[in-house]
Amino acid sequence: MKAMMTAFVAIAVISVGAWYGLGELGFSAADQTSGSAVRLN
Amino acid sequence: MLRAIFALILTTIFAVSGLAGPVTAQTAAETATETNPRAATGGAPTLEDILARQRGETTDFSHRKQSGGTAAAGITEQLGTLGGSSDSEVFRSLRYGTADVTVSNNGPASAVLIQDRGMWWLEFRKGPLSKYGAWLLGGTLVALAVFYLLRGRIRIDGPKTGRTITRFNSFERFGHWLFAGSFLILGATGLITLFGRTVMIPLFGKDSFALLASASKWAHNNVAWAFMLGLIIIIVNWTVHNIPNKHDLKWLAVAGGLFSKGVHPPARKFNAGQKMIFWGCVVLGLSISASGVSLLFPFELPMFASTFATLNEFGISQMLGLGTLPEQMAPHEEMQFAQLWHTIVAFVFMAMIFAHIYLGSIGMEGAFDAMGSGEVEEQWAKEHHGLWVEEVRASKGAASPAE
Repeated sequence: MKAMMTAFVAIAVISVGAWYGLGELGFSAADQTSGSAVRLN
Repeated sequence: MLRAIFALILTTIFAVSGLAGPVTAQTAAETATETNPRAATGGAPTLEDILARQRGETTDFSHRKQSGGTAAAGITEQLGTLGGSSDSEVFRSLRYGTADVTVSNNGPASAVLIQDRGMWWLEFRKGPLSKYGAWLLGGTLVALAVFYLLRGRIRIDGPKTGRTITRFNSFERFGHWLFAGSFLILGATGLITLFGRTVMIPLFGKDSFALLASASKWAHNNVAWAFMLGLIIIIVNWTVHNIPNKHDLKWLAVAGGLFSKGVHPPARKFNAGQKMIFWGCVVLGLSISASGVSLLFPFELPMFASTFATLNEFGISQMLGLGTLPEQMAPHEEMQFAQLWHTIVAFVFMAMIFAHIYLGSIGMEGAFDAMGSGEVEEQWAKEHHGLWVEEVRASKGAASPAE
């Protein structure tokens, strides 16, 4: 069962990592759809 | 008297010319209508056009697409707020994508202000797609329940040995659970997204559903990467073991012994049934990943126009009775097709996995251990994977002298 639990933890880590990483790289919907005239932060 | 006669003559002349006028005009209109059916409507769709469209027939509206007005009228004419165009012409050019639109936001879709295929997608999504998808999942669950009632739990037929054999190592099990765990989350959140408006909002209310929908969307978008990694791991681990061989025919001939007690066709590491599940996971997994990535990066990775062009070119769409599929579409339409395909594949995938989960848990004694601890009862292994047990023993025997 250790492999199963490790996999479930990995799902959580990968998901949070993907969310944070893609956001940092500018792939958020806000970044992708706003023009240069828009101040997001 | 003379005056009365003169008046009569004049009246007769006007009456005759008055009759002749409309007749002449009517003849001219009829001639024009015959050569150009829309001449009578000033270029607008005719009643026949509208009725044909309502009957769902393909109508040629190319004449409307070209009728978007001019940016500026001749300098002798009065310019309105729309330049030389009318309201109708402006909206028509927006609808057919010929308008020169300037917007301050980014993305290929931002300049598309009207996308008239959206309603078809919306109706299909909440209608046939949801309905038949629900029937498929419900029907699969009912079929499995009936199978359980008729066949019961498939037991280990022979006496248990008390010895175990390693069926899957920890990396194989990790890959399986990464794929399986993320699949369950994606399946549940996908169903929440599809049936939210029709099923969940009436049950929980809009406020509660808004929170659930936000969490669901976050999970669906981000767990997808774990799913794709899990898919890669299972492909690397198990493709070699899932290449079809002659034993599969024997297995299929007796339906794997699923419907009869004491029947155990020979199988190596995976039997024909498991191979079907494996290849189903690979094909459906790759397809759903492709449409999923297209949806994760909206409008950046369109794939349907080119796919449709290929299907049209080889006559496959015509062979399937789909006619000529659209090869040029608005960015939103690409996403709509990606969403529909993603959902259709997901429903088939879920129905298949329902059967897999059933046989891997309550449906068969000893099956869960293969993915739980990785160690299975030797008798179970002999009954379901007899050739594989011999291979393992042979490899151990070969390895022993060296140890």
